Amino acid sequence: MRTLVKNIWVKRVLFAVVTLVWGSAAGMGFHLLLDYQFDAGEEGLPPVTWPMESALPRSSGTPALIVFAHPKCPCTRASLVELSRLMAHIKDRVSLSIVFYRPDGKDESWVRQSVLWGMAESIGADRLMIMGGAAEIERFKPRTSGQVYLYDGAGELQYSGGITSSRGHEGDNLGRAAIHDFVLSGKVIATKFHVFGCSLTGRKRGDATADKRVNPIKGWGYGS
Amino acid sequence: MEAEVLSDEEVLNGVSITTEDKELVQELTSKYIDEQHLVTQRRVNRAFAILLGIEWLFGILTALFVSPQTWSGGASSVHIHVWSSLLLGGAIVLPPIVFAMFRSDNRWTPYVTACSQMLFGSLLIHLMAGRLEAHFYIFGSLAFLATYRNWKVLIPATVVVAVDHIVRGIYWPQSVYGVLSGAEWLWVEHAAWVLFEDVFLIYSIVQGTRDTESIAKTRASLEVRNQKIENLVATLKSKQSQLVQSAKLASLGEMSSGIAHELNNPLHFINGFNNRIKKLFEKNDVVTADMIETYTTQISENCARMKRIVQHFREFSRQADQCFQPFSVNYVVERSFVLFSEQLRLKGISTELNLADENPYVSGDSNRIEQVFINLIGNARDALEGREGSVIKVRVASTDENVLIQFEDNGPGVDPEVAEKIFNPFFTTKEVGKGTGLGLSISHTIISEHKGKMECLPSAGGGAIFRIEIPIYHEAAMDQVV
Repeated sequence: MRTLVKNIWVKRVLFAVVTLVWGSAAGMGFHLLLDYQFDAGEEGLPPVTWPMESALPRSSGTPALIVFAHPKCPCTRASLVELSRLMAHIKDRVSLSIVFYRPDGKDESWVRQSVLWGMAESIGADRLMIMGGAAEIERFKPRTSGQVYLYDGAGELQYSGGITSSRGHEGDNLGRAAIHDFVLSGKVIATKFHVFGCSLTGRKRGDATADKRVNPIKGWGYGS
Repeated sequence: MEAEVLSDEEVLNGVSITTEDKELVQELTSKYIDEQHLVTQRRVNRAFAILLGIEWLFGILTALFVSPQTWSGGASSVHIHVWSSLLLGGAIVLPPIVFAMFRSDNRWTPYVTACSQMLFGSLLIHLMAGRLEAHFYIFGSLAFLATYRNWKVLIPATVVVAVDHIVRGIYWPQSVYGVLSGAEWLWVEHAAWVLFEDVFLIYSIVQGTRDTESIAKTRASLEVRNQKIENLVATLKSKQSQLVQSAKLASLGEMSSGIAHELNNPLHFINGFNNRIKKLFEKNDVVTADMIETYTTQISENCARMKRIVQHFREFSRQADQCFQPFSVNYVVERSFVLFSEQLRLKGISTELNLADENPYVSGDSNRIEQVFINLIGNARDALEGREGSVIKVRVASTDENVLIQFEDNGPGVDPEVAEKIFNPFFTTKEVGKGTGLGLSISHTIISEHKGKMECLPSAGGGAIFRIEIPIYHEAAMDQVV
């Protein structure tokens, strides 16, 4: 009888330990996943006025929207979906340029054969470009795929940031809302927002300049 | 108001149901419900184990397709989604699969499965980039969990969803709600929608459970009644068997005087030859070898005949369980006359046997069929007693489906009113003390047991015809002859 009771308690304790270990492992897994999801990329450093020496054309009086994308970045898929939604509202009022980044050692076909290139084509951008040279990259200094700059008709920077609120997740976000409101009504609700995507610089996450984890609710950049 | 009086014994459809039976019904009902729950639990556990395995695979494929690699400039590495689908997904689906395989009967298995299914939903939604459409997974999962037919299983599933939404709603609202602010209390709305579905599912489960209980109760009642009916049938069969044996013994009793005749005749011969031999020796007459051989041969033959009669009498009178096997109808008809040949001869009744050339077989108990034949021969003998030119004709014929056996006599015949009742139990036209009234009734029952039919018809010659039809046995072999 005592052996039976002992066995039952051993089983219970064992079950509790296994459950605890399993629960902790699952909880840790979810935590890491969510931590990664909200791990923002390095901020871009755009010129505050449109660089006249840029190869990208700009029509005076028309706001210019520039999107930088890494052709293989899975998170940028959501950015392009959001861009597509945004353009459905502001298509006739902005000039859209989508600039694909081509790393050194990769040719243009590597970019053109990507899924994101196909998605970008379907958006109907005014300019769809591939930039591999250092010049344009250095001019606009995008650091993360999904980086969006909005210049107003006078060539002044109005917005710099991403248009998703976490890695690879579609849905309402501050960046999209900021661009939408500025283009349609001139209302400024944010000038900056986080960018979620792959690095365009080759710097690893965790580098001093790139390490910014955010909480979208308390995210910076509101109503500046 | 008239008080309802419950008697200890009710009669439903002719079967009495006692208090003990009701308790047995209750016990069986609980047993069947438990069995049904266990069967359902095993089945759904198995289905979920397969489903979760497929979901795991789907999660890995989704990660490999949607986000196989993460890039940093021109360098790439495996995306965290691939690892999380593989490792975290595996950790989530493993417990229910293990439980389904090794602890399928354990009452906690459905709860483990429910938690894992909802947790995996959370992961899958994440891997599918939080698409709104992916959230239907939650509602689909709840509906599938309802197939356990246990509403309590929905509780941990709902709690997992609620906790997931609360935690993520507080710390990462965009990951579940798709909006940035004001999401702190959205979990209440989302949980309310889940509860909304829960209400319908619980209602459906409760209704289903009631149906299951009703079916189990009906099954238990039927089983108890069937058992009682089977007991009654067994008792009836036993009684019928006893009745058949009684009738047979009664028939044998009636035949005893005839049997005495059957034995008396060969005994007479034996005695005669014995006396001749004795006198030959007393007178010192010449005794030749031929004479001795003739006399002893006659004595041996008559002894053998007596032996056959006694042996047949013993075989016929034995009580044995009904035993069905193929036998030759011609053979049984001939054997039936063994006990009658001498008495019929003494009463001046001739017999005409018109047996079937094709020697048809039927499947049945030859002893009981012989009992029928003997009963008919005995009745014919009684009806023909004292009549001139009396004859019993027996004809055996066959068709593709049946074997026909017809006993015809040229006696006084059977009145139509009598013919109507002739197979009724205890009906007899014989004098008191000469017949039990059971012979033809039991004969009719025996033929019915052989899936045959028996009828009484008027003969063209004024007598009676008893006509029997028994399904033919087509695959008879000679070594199966009884």
